[in-house]
Amino acid sequence: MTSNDSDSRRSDAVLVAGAGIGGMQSALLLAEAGHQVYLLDPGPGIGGSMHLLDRTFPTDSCGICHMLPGRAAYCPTIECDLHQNIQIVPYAEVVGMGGQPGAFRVQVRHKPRYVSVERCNNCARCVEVCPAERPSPYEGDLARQKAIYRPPLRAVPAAYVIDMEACTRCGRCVEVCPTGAVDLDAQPSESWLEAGAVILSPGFAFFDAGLKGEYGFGYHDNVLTSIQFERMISLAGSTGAHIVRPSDGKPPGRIAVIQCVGSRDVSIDRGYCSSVCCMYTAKQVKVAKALDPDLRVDVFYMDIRAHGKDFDAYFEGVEGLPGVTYRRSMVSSVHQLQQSRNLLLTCIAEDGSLQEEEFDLVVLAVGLGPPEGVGALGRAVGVELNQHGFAASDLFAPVESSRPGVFVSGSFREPKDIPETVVEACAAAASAARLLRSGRTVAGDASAQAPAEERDVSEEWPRVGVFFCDDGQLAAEIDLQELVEHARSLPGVGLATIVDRGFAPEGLQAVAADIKRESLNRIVLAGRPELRLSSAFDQMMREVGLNANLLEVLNLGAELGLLSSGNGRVSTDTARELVAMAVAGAARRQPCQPVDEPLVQRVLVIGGGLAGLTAALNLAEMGHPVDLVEQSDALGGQLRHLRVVLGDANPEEALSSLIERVGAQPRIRVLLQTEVAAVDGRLGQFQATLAPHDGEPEEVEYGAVVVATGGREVVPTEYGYGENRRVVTQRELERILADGGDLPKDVVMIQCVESREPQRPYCSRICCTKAIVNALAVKERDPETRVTVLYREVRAYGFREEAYRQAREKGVVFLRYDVDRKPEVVADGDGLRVRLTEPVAGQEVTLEAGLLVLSTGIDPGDNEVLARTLGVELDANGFFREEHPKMRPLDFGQRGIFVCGLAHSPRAADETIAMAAGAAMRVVSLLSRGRAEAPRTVAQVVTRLCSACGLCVEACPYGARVLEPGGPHAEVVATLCQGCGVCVAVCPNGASQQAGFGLQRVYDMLDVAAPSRA
Amino acid sequence: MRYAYYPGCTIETTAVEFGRSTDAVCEVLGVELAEIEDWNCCGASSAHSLDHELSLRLPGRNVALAQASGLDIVAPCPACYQNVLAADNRMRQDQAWRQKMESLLDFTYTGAGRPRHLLEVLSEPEMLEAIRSHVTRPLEGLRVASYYGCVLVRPPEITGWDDAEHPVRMDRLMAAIGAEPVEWSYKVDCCGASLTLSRSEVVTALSSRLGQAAREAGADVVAAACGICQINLDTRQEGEQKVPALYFTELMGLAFGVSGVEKWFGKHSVDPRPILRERGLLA
Repeated sequence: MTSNDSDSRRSDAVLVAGAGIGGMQSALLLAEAGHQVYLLDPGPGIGGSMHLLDRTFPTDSCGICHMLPGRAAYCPTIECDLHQNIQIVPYAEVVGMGGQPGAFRVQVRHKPRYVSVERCNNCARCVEVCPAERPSPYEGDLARQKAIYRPPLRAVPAAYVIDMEACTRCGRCVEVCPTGAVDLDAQPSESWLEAGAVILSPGFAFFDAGLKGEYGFGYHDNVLTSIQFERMISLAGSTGAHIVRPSDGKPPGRIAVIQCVGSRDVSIDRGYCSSVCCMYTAKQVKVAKALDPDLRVDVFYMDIRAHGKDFDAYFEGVEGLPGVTYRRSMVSSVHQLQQSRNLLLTCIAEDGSLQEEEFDLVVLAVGLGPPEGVGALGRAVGVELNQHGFAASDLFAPVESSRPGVFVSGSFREPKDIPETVVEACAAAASAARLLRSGRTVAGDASAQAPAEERDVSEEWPRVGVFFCDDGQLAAEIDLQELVEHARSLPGVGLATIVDRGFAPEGLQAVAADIKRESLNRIVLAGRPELRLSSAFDQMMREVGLNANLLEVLNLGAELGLLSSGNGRVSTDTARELVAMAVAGAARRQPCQPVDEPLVQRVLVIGGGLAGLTAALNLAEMGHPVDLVEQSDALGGQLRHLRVVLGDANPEEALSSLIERVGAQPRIRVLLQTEVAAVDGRLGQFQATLAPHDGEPEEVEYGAVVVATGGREVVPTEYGYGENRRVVTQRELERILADGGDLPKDVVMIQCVESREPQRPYCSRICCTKAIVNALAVKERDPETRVTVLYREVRAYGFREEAYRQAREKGVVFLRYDVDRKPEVVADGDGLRVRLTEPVAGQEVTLEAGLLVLSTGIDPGDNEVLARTLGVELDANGFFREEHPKMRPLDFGQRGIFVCGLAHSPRAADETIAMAAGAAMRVVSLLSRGRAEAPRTVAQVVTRLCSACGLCVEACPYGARVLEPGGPHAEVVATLCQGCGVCVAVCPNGASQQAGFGLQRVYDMLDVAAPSRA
Repeated sequence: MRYAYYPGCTIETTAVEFGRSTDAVCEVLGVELAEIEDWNCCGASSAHSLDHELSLRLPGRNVALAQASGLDIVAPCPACYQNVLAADNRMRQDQAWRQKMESLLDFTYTGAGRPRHLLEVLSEPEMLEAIRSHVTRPLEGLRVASYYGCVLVRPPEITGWDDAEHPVRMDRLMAAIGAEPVEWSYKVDCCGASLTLSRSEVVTALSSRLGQAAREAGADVVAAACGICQINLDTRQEGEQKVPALYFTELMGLAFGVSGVEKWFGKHSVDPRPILRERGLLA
C-alpha cells in the first residue's frame, strides 16, 4: 500500500468496542467533539454491567440515571442512542483489523438477533406464547426469562431478541408477531467499518464462583454470588428488594459475606486484587441493613481496600452499623446442613484458631476477570494481553495498547471502579481525538445549521393541524376516526386527519404537504413517537417554514399505557381528552429562538506538574491553544521526586520527555512563577487575570479552565522525624536507593503515618504500593537486608497485589498494628528500636531498625484561595470537590472548569495521566462546537415582576442564574440553563418563566383536562 | 476387561473386606484383575514427607512393572492410586525425569497403561449399565452418604475424572445398585488419615464430625472408597448413634447377591447388619 492510498482512506471516525459505562462515555465525548462513532457491543443492547447494579458507592445513587448537568441529562444509554454522531452496533464483535493509525479497516461479525429492531414494537405478545425458558443472566440467574426476551429496561436498542440456545424453533412468536418482526432463519453476517482510531472497552466478567468449589456455589441452595445478592437488594430485581433464602423464601437472620472470592488467589490463577469488591460489599451491607435493620451480617475479609476518594469514611460508616461485624479471617469451607439448609462456615481467624459458625445465607463477593472472548478480541485487533488476559499498559501511557492507534480503558486494562473507568474512558477518547486531529487545527463543528427562514405567525390566529400518525397498531387500540371527528370540533383546529405510517419519512412528507396547503400555524403530532425522532420533526418544521416550538407532540402510546393500568385497551374517551389538551396547548405555543454564544477556544491549565503538563499537551494536540500556569520556577511537580516505580518505566525519562514535548508544542504558552489572580465569566467566556511574580498582570479570555494544582508529601511530626537522621520518609528512601546511598541491615517501614486518623482521615492510596516497591528495591540491592513493614491494611489494589506477594516471597515481613496501639520508636545508641504490640495475641514485638521509613500520605496544596477565585468548592480534607464522585469525577458544578490529578485526590502516576487527559477531553467535547446552544425551553425573567430575592439563584442546580449584588433583577445565563423549571417553581412572584411553558398555556390545558373545576 | 491390579498394602490387612469385595464384584462383572508381579509399597504418606523424589521413584517402579502388560493399572487404595498417578504423570511430562527413571529402573517408558482408581473404572457409564444388569437385590430404601475422602479425586490437575469439591460418580454407582444417595456436603472432607495413630484425638474429632454430618443428612450408612477413611470412621467415630461405614464394593456385593457378604460385615466395629436388616436387605 502506498502512502497515497492510506491518506485517501483516512477516517475521522472512531470505533469503540464495548458499550458499558466506559465505552458509552468515550463515544459520547468523541461524538460531542464532532467525530463519527461506531459503538459496538457483543450483547443485544448497550449499557454493559451497569444494568446489574442498583445503588453505587459511595453516593448510594442509582447506577445509571442520575440527573446531571449535561446535554440530555437522561441516562447514558439514551444519550448515546439520541446522538446523531453515534451509530450503535449491537450484537457485534471485532474479528479482524487491517490498516494503520488514522486509517483502520475493521472486520465486524454481527450476531443475528432474529427480531427486527425496526419492526419490533415491544408489544410482548411473543413472550406470552414462547414455551422455552432459561435463567436470566440479567437477574444473576435468580429469575427466569423466555427464549424471546427484552434486554434490561434501559438497554438500547429497545427491541426483543431470541436466545437461540434456549429457543425450540416452535414458530409461535413468528405467528403472533403483528409486525412480522421475527425471523428464525436470520444468519450471522460480516461487515467492514472504517475508523481512524479504535478504543477497546470490553469491560470485565465476574468470577465464576463455581470454580471455588469449597464454598458450594451451585450446590448449596443458600450460597449466592454478590451479583445475585445485588439483584436481590435492588428494587428492580426479581425479588423487588426483598432478601430471601432461595431454599425456602424466608428472610435470613444472619448473613455471611466472603470477600476475595476469585481475587488474590494464586490457586486459581487470580493473583491480582479486583479493587472493587470491598466497597461494593460495604454498599450491599448498607443497603441490606436499610431493607432489614435486624439483619446480622458478618463479613470475612483479608484487608479492607477502601482506597478511593472518601471511601474510608463510607466504609467506617458501614462497619459501625449495629449487627455488622467485620472479621479478618480466611474462610476454608462452607458446608450445607441438609435439614435446615443453613450453612456452616469454617474459617481460620487472625489468631490462627479454627472457627465454625452457622449462617442462613452466604454471599460470595466475586472478583472481576477479563471478559469472555477477550483472547480472540486481542488477536483480532493485534493487541497484547497480560498473563491474566487484561490489556497490559505502561505506567506513563495508561490508555495506550501495544498497537498504535488502539486505545484501552476501564476494567479491560485492570479491574477498577466506575469513577476510574469513566476517567479512563475520557482519556481513551482524548488519545483517539489527538491521533485523528494531529497536524490539523480545529475550527469548531461545521455541521451547525444556518438559521431557518421562518414564517412570522405572531399576528396570525391559531390554526391547528392535528395529525394522527398510525403505526399499524394504534387504530386497533383506539377509534382513530372518532378522534379525528372530535379534533375537528375543537376550537382553532384547521385540519385533523389520519396519516399512515405518519412518523416514517414519507408520512412526515405528507404532513408537511398538508401544513403548507392548509396554511396551518400550530401542529399536533399524535401517535407513538420515539425520542430519536425529534430531529426528523425539527427538519419537517424547517421545511414548512415554521418555528420548531410550534409543534406539540402527543405520545398517545405512553399516555394511554400509563392510564390503562396495563390492559392495553383504553377508552377512546381518555384519548379524546388528551387530544383536547394537546390542541389547547398547541394553540398557545409561541415561536422561540435558541440562544447561542461563541466559545473561546483557548484553555487555561493551572499547575505544571504531571497532571497539568499532560492536560496541556492533550489540549494542544487536539487543536486548542493553552496557557499553562505554574506558580513555582520549574515544571514537573511531585513527579520530580519519583525515582522508583512498579515495573520497568523510567519516571525521570518520562518527565523530561513530557516537558520537552510541551516546550516544542507551539500552541502551549508556559508561564512560570505566575499566579491566577482572578477568574470571572462562564463556560466559553472566562476572563482570567494572570499575575506573574515579577511583572504586570495580564488579562486573558479562556473557554475553559483545568485545575491541576497537585498536592504534596505530608511532612511527618511523629516517630522522631526531623530529630533522628535514621528516620526518613519513603521519598527520602527512594532518593537513597536511586543515588546508591548506604543502607543498614535492618529497615523498618511504618504505614499510614498521620493518615486515616482524625486530623487526616483519608487514605492516600499510593503509600502501600510505594512501600512495597521500595521494599523490593531494598531486597534487590541486598537480599540479606531485613525489611519489616508495619501496616494497618495493605491496599495493594489491582496488579499491585502481585508486587505485594513478590515482596513476601522475597522475605519482606508484614506485621499489622492497630491505630490505637501505634508502634513506639526509641533511640538505642546508634540505632533505633521499634516496639509493636501485635494486635491479636497482644504480644509485644521489638524490632531493630537501622533505618525507619515513614510512609506519609499526600496533603492537598493550598487550594483555598484558588477555590474562591474560581468559585468552586473544596472537600473537608482540602481537595477540590468534584461535581459527582461517580459519574462526573472530572467536573465541577461550575461548567467549564475541570479538575485532575492530586488536586482531586491522592493517586498514582497512571491514574493522574488518565485523569488529566480525560479532563482535556471533557474540555474539547464542550468547546469544539465553537458555539454554545441553549435549549428551547430556557428560563426567562420577567424583569418588572422580579424582586431580586435570589431564591432562583440558590435553587438553580446549573449555576445558570445570576444576581449581581444590588442588581435590579435576576438574570438567566441561557447557555447554562437546562430548562428544568426549578426556578419557575420557587419564584414567589411569577417572574420566572420558561419558554414554551407559559402560564396561560398550562392553564388552558388544565381547563380542558378538568373543565368542571375551571 | 483386564487390568494390571495394584492392590497395595491394606487390601490384605486392615482393609481385607475391601479386597475380598473388590475381587467378588469384579468377578461378577467379568473384570479381570491381573496382579502386578513383585509390586512394592507406593510410599504412602511417609515417603513424600521425607523425600519428594523418593515418593515418585517408589511408585515409578510399579509403573515400570505394569507397563510390560500394556494394561491400565487399577488400584483400590486412593493413596496408592494417587502416588502411582503422580509418578506416571511426572514421567509423561518431564523428559529429563523420565530418562533418570528409565536408567534407574532399567526400562523404557512408553506411556502405555494409565493408572486408574477402582471407583473410576467401575463408574464409567458403560460399566454402570453392566452393574445395573447384575443387581439381583436392589438396595431399595438404603440411604447412602458417598464419602470420597480427601485424596481420591485430587489434585484435579492429574485426576480429572470427577469434580474435586463436589464429586458425583460414587453417588451414580450407588443409584445404579438401587440405593438412595443422600445429598451432603462432606464428600471430600478429611477423616484425619494416618494421624489415627500419632494424634488419635484429631481423627476422633474429624471422623465423629463426618458421622454426625452423615446422620444429619439422613444417611443410613457411609460408603467409602479408602481403607484409611473406612477404618477411621469405623473405629474412631464417637457418639450415640454411630453410622456404619462400608466399602462401596461391599454394597455392590450385597446388591449382586454375592455369597460371603455377611463375613465382610462381621469385620466392622460399627456393625452395619442391624440397619441393613431394618431395610430388609439382610435376612
